[in-house]
Amino acid sequence: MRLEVFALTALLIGCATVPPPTPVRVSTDAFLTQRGVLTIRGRQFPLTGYLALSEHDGIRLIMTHTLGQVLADVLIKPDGAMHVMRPSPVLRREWIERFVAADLRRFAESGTLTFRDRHHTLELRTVETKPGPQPASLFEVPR
Amino acid sequence: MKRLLLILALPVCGWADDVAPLEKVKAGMAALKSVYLEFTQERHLSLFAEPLKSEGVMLIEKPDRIRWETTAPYQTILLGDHKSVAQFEDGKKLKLGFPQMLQRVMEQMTWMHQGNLDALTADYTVTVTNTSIVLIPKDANIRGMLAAIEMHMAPEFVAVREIVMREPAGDSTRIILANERRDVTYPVGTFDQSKPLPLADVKRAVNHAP
Repeated sequence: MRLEVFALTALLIGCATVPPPTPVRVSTDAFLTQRGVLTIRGRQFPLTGYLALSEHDGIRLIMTHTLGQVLADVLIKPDGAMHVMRPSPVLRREWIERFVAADLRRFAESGTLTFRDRHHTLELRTVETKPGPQPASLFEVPR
Repeated sequence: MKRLLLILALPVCGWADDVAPLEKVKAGMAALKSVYLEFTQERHLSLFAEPLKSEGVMLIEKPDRIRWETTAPYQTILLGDHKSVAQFEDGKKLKLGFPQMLQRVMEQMTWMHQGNLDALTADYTVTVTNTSIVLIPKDANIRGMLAAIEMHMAPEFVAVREIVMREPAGDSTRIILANERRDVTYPVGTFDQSKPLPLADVKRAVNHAP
């Protein structure tokens, strides 16, 4: 397992430049389950994303590996402030900030399901939607 | 989950009361040619009040073939043997990153499927209680992600009823097994890593078996 963690991290080194925060507009309250395939340098990693969407409180994403391990836990507030809620055993913080958060913003605002740039491709599909308000605790920033 | 897969290769038969549980497990595995199981998986994250659920099937055929297929709320198929692994997402075969991890799992499952539980002691500390078998990773890095695997057994250790994988921070994954069928004859293509047989066809063959 250590070899795989090191290798995935090595693939991502040098790719991260964090963009400045911009407000994010979420148009619905819902809990989504998404499946995605992340492609980095020709290698594919299936992922599951659990998204809590709140018009008033922002977006919370838990991204897991196909085997269940949490790869990223991100909160984006309506003012655009992004918080990495827990360290990832696999993904560098800068990569989460640069790519995961950016893709998340685009999805929330436009419903985009495919993200491509020179570093990565992410193809998503929503497999389950549960409309309704989400617990406020999901959007609280730890002190 | 990868650790879960190796545990799920452990269905056993009933034995005399004086046979130690691990010996029962080993003996049962030596005789079993294949197994079919349906599972419900609950991912318990402390963040959420309710577990995140999925469903699927697990198919194993001696000596070393496995198919782990999630069927709801999405479909993904994971296939493996001692030489290679493959994963299909939405019907498409993936160019997997780091298949070595999955291959390691397959290798461990081969050991178990042949009754070679002793080989697992290289990676786990194994303890047995009245109702369960507990595996604790020896590697500190692994323990940082996976604290323990618990196999909760049926009486007399005749079958695995539930698997729980516990993480250090308190999250866990619970897999509930049901509808077990033993020594089934799987149709050709069930474990094909290029074009696996659709699950409906596999189930039809399994359900019609005597």
